[in-house]
Amino acid sequence: MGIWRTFLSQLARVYNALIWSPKPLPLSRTALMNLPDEVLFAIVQYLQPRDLISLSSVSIFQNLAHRTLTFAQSCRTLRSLSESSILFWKHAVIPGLLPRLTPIHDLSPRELRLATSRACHNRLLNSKHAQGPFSTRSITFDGVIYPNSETLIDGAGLFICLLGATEDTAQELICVDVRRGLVVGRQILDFKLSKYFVGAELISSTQFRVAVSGERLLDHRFIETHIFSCHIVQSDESSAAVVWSPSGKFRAALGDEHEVTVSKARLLGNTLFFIQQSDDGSQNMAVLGIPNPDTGATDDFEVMEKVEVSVEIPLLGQPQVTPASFDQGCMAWRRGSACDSGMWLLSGPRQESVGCSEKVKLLPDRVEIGAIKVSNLLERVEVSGDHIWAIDQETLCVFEKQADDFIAHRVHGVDLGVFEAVDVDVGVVCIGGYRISGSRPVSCMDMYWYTPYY
Amino acid sequence: MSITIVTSDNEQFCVEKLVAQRIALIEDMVENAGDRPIPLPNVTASVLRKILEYCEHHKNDPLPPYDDGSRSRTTHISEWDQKFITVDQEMLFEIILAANYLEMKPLLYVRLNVPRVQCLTACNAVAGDIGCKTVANMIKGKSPEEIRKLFNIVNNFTPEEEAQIRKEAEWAEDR
Repeated sequence: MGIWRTFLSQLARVYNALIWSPKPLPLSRTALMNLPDEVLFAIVQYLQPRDLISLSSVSIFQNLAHRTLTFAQSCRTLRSLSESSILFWKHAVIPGLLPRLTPIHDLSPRELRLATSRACHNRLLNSKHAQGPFSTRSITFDGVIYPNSETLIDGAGLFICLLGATEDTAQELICVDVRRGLVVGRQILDFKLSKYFVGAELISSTQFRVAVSGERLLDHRFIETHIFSCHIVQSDESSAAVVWSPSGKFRAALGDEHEVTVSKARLLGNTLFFIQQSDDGSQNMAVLGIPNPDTGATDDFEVMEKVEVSVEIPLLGQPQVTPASFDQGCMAWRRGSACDSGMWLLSGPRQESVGCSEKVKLLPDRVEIGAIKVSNLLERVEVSGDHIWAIDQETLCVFEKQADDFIAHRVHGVDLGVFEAVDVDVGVVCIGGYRISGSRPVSCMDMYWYTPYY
Repeated sequence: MSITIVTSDNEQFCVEKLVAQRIALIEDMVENAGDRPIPLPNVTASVLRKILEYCEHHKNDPLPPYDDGSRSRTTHISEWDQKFITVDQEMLFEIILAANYLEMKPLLYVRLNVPRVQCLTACNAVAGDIGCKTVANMIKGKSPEEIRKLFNIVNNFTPEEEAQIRKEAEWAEDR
C-alpha cells in the first residue's frame, strides 16, 4: 500500500511537472513593487517630477498581477497621455497636486491641466535655468515671425509655439524651450492649410503637432490636438467662433446661426468667452456654456444651455478677451483706444458649471492703466492668478490684486522692436516679436519671470 | 488599564490602553472585544514591537488635523522618528504595511480630508508620513537603475521601451 502511494505520488508530480507550468512563486510582500497602491501614492506625493519619472521608468508596475493596479494604471495613463502631449499630461503631474482619492485616469482635463500647470510652474521655479523673480532673458533666432490669427503662441510655460509667416510667405511654426532659451523645433506649413491656426502642442522635445483649419466653416483640416480649442472663422458675410473637441470633432459654432459677428473668442474649459458685434457696430461680451461631454451631451449647438449677454460696453478698436485663472473664473479685456485704454474684470461662470448659471457683472471698478503712465496703445492684457499683466509696445506692467484693488507692482521696459505676441503662463511671460539686427529683422522672444501666485 | 494583543505568530502583548489607542484599528476593536485579546493576524511580533515603541513615544502627542491638501509635502523627519525608522528595508516595508493595516494616524498615516468612515470604506487608509517619507527620500535623486538596485527590482522593459522612456523624459532634465 505504501509503495503504491509513493508511486502514485511520484507519478502525479511528474505529470504536473510535464503538463502544468510551474506556479509563480508568491511575491515577497515586503518590496517596493508590492506595496498597495495607496501606499505607493503616498510615497510619490513626496517626490519631485524628476524622481517620479525615474520611478515610473524603473519597471512595468502593471505586471504585478495580484494588485488592483490603480497606481500602475495611473502610470500607464500618464504614459499614454504623455504620448499625446508633453505639455499638459506628462510626468510633471505631481500626484500631490491632484485630488487624492481620484485615480489620475478619472480626473477631468481641467484638473489635470491645473495640476500640471502648477507642477510645471514649480519645476520652472526650481530649475537651475529659471531666473529670479522679475528677471528677464532674451533670445533671437532666424525667421521673421508675423502674426497669423487667433493663436499666436501656444504652450504651457515650458515650451512655446509661435506661428508666423516668413518673408516668402510660407508659414512657419517655431517651438522654443523657455527654460533653455533655445528653438527646439520648426516646421514650414502649407500656407493654404494653415490659414486658420487652431493650436499646436509638443509631443516630444523636437516634435509637435499642429491643428489648422481650412477657409470654410466646416471644410476644415484638422490634424490633431488634445484640448478644446476655438478660433474665429471668417467668411465674406459673417464670422463665427468654432470650437473643436479633443477628438477633432466639430463641436459648436456661434455666428451664422445666431446672426452675430464674433470678433474675438477665447475658450476656458467648457466656457466660451467671446465678443460679438451687432449690425450697428456696437460690441459686447458674452459667455457661452458648452455642453460637457462627460454628461452625455451631444455636439449640437442647440443643446448649449444658456447664452448670457453680459455687459454692453462699447468697445473701441480691437477688443480682447482674456480668460483669467481657472480658479477665479473671471476675465479681463481691454478697450482698445490709445486715449482710453483700460481693462475690466468680470466675474464669470465657474468652469465646472456646464452653462452660464451666474450672471456676468462688472467687478470691480475699472482699472485705469493710464494711472501708471502706460501711454501707448495697450496691446494685451493677461490674467494669471492674482496678477494682471498689461503690455503695450514699450512697457510691461503687472498689477497685483489686493482685496478689491489693484496695485501696480512692477513695470518693465520692453525693448522688443515690433511686438507681436505674448503668452502668460506658469511663471513666465513670453513676448515674441522681431527687431532689427544690423540691416535685417530677426525674430526674438523675451521672457520675464514673475513671482509665483501660489 | 491595559489590553492584550495577539500577533500573527501568536505572541501576546499586554499594552497600556492609552498607547494602544494610538492605533485606530485597535481603538475600534477595543469596545467590541471586551476583555478578550485582540487578534492582529496581519502583523508579526517583531513589527508590532516597533509599532508599539512608536506609540509609546508619541502617546501624548495631539492627533494630526485632517489633511486638506494644503499641507506642504516636506520630507523632514524629526530626530527621534529618524532614529526609529532606521531599520533594514524589509522591516521598513513591514512597518509601512502594518501601519496601513492598522490605520495608524500620526505614525504612518496621512489623514485624508474625508470622514473617517468614508475613508475606511473607500480608500482603506493610506500609509504615509514617516515610512513613506523615508522611502521617498531613498528614491530622491536616483536614476532608474539605482532605484532598481536599491530595491532589488527587475527591469522588465525591453531595450526599445527603455530607450523610448529615456527619450520621453529628456525634456525634464536640466541641461
